[in-house]
Amino acid sequence: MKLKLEDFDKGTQECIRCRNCTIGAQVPGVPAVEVCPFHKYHNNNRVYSAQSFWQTTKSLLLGDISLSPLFTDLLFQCTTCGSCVEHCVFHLMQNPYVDSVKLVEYLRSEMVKKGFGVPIHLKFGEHIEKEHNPYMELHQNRWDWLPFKKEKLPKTAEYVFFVGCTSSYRQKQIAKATVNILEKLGLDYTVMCRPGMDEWCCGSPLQRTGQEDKAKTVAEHNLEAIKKTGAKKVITSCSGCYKMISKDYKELYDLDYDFEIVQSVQFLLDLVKKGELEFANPVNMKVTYHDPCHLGRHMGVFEAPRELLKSIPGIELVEMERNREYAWCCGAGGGVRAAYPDITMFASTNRIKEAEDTGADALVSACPFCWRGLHDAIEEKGSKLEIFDVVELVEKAMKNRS
Amino acid sequence: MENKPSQTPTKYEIPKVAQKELTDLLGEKNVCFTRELLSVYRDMAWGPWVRQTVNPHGAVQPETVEEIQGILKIANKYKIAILLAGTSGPGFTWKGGLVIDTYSRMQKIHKIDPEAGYVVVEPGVSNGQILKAIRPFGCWISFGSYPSDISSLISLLLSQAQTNVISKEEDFCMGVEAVLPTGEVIRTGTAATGIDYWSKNRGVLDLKFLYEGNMGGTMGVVTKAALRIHPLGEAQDIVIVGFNNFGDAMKWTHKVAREVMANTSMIWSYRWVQWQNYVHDNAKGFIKYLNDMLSHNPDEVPSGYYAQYAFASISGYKEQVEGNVAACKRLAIDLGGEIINKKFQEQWPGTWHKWEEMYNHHINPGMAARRSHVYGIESSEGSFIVTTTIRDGKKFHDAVMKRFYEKYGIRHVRYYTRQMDHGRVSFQRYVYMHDKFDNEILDREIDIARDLATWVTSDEFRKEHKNIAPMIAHTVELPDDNDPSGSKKSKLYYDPSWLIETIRKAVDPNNIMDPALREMAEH
Repeated sequence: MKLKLEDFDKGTQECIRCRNCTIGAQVPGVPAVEVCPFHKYHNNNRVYSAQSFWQTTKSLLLGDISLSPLFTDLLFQCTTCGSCVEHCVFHLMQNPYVDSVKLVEYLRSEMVKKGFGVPIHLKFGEHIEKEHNPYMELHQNRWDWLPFKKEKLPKTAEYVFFVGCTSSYRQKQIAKATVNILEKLGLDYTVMCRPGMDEWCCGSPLQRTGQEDKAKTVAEHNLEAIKKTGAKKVITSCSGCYKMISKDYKELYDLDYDFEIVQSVQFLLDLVKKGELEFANPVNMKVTYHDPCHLGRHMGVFEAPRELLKSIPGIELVEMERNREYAWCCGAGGGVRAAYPDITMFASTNRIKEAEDTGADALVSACPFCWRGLHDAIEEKGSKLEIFDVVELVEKAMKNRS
Repeated sequence: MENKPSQTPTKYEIPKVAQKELTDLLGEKNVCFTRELLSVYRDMAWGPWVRQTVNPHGAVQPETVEEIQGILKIANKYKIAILLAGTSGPGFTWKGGLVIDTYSRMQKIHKIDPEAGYVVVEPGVSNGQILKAIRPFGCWISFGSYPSDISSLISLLLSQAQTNVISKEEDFCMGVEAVLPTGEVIRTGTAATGIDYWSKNRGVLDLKFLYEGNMGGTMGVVTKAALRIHPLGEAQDIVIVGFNNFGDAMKWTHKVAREVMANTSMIWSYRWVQWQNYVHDNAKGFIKYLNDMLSHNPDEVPSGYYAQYAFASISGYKEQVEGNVAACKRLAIDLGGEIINKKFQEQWPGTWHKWEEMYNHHINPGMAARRSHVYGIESSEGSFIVTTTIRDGKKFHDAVMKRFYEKYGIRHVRYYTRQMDHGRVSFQRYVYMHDKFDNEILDREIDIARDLATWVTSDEFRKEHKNIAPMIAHTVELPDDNDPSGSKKSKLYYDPSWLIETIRKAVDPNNIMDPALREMAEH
């Protein structure tokens, strides 16, 4: 559905300036927590807050101001993590009008249309058009991580593993672990690695940075490619891909499909519950779980990764103070890591400190992009924490099948 | 500084030289003079007036008392209009000026004294921050959920507005430290003998109400406040009574409050209970509520349910709670009510859950007690609130319900009342909904809000209802080209601006505090 500025008018009227979106003090049973990474980064400056998005929108609606490069930092430094939405009084009241993530993505797209996009975002946007990934890598190298020749994979299969750009080009160990698991289980799966039915960037980096037209193009391509595999179920490695395909393709671009889409933790937990995935090797480790925003807050998947971790023998799961829908963002999303790395580092070091406070040996997540942001902070901070994706631990614990 | 009003008009624009001085004082990160970016400060309140505001010319975020003194010194020097975001103040910018934001960086809890029962906090401290800090001491604090920090609430708390939320409260804000417009620091209330020292009996003038704020303006910038905290009771209980008429329910809640049998006593209409129950679940629940509400006669209450749900929350020692519960129940039965604790939990699990959180566990109630009100009357989109004496409560209620139906054609009104101040005052809130939703709904709601406020402040109405608390704020009486008489009438009877002016002349010689508001009132 194509949004207009007027669609947010009701939200501007509903916002009661309560500041829950920044200091989040109102959720019953939830301790006082810091909510917004970019607000905190700016020394709690109220100008940099979800409330500011709404009030700015009101000024725009009234014609008092118009979008200009002055708004670049305000609109593009938000990680679109959605923590503000989760804490919003009106969200608690189930009011559908106050969705700050939707608003900021809309305002970003307007900025881009007016020629005020962030250069580095536009640059990776162009690269996605050309090479179908935001990492300035060649499309032909997308499947280099595969532990075997890609020709081995069938053209059609029951399951498609949608690898995503980050696992394909950067956190390849996550992609490898996932494929190893699928192989060990002997499942009928494939990866979209053939001309004409090849995987492109899911479009999430484009959608988050205001380049929705380009995002729709890649979405259409990916859906077409998935359909050609005949898959009944698509498994994503990246939480961003998961949200993009399962929610945004439908809601934002009115695209339709009839396959099921799951994130790898959901897929694997389902197998554990059916008794089709068993663990033979204990992983003796105290871990804490970081909820990726796109999997948790945006898609409501909080328990599956926890259940999966708890099902692994030897794992002791401890929670950080801010968890589930109130989890602190890693700071990498929304195009922030590319354009404002200082904010990402600020947010992720904050998260690492919180993870360290639990006494855990390792920080575990279910998103390769979170992995990147958090890993950088571990290195920067000189933390002793190890970092894993859930699938890496699953692979370690899996019973070998002959 | 010369102690007489300046003849020089106050400026809204901030000269470059003043911007530089402010930047030097606070650092670049803590000032903003890019007006386009300051929409967030154009209105810090909520209501039909919001469309008439403008962005301020600048905003600064001090961290210390000394920085605030420095800001006020600069504002006096260049005669710049000051607006406050954080403690009292107007809530919105009328013509611009410089916003002093004491929310952002003044977030320290200075002292927790569970024995004496108070905390000393800065204006930007959040409700949750206090709760978290005092829980280990076995204490709780009473506040509403809007806003989520205690900043602007300090101004409301000063005037015991929190009695609206948890009726037990009195003297909630016991003392404040504030910077006068001239830059001097004043400590008043219990803080007169030191902000870190709690004294029940003060031997000096208690000037803390000067900083109460609201749209009438304020006389300084609050920098610290001493707020009352309470020990968590050993035991808690709730009594829920079903009544079929408002009058009997009112008598019961009043008696329960007056005899101090409960911390809180309230009446919730059937529709309110239903609404809370639905929205507890999810968005689908809310839609279900709307559908249900719009497809049924709002006057109808299904068999087995009650038109009025009266409620009392009791805490204290176990024996004390048992005794008070027994007394509450006996009184309810005498008045024809039915004790329905168990039935209520079964029929309304969502609402029950919310009440449990609020009253049994003293968890910050979230939106369940979202707003608190110092004003006698407040009317904004979709909501109408009046504080009245108890003997007028029933009469007033009947008049309001009749008007909603006869004047506006609205039958879908859900309401609750809360007995405050040991039953001396009744707080009555009505939330009205239209039978259809369209783009013009906001305009209609604003019209109704204005009309309701005009109605309750009219001579005719006040002859009938003599005990409505006087309206202090010009909440809906802003200048209106179409109806300028509303403002004049309101001002004639209830505007205390003469009092504000007299005090202001003494403490704000250069007239830098909220001058725009005064202009607005004079408009």
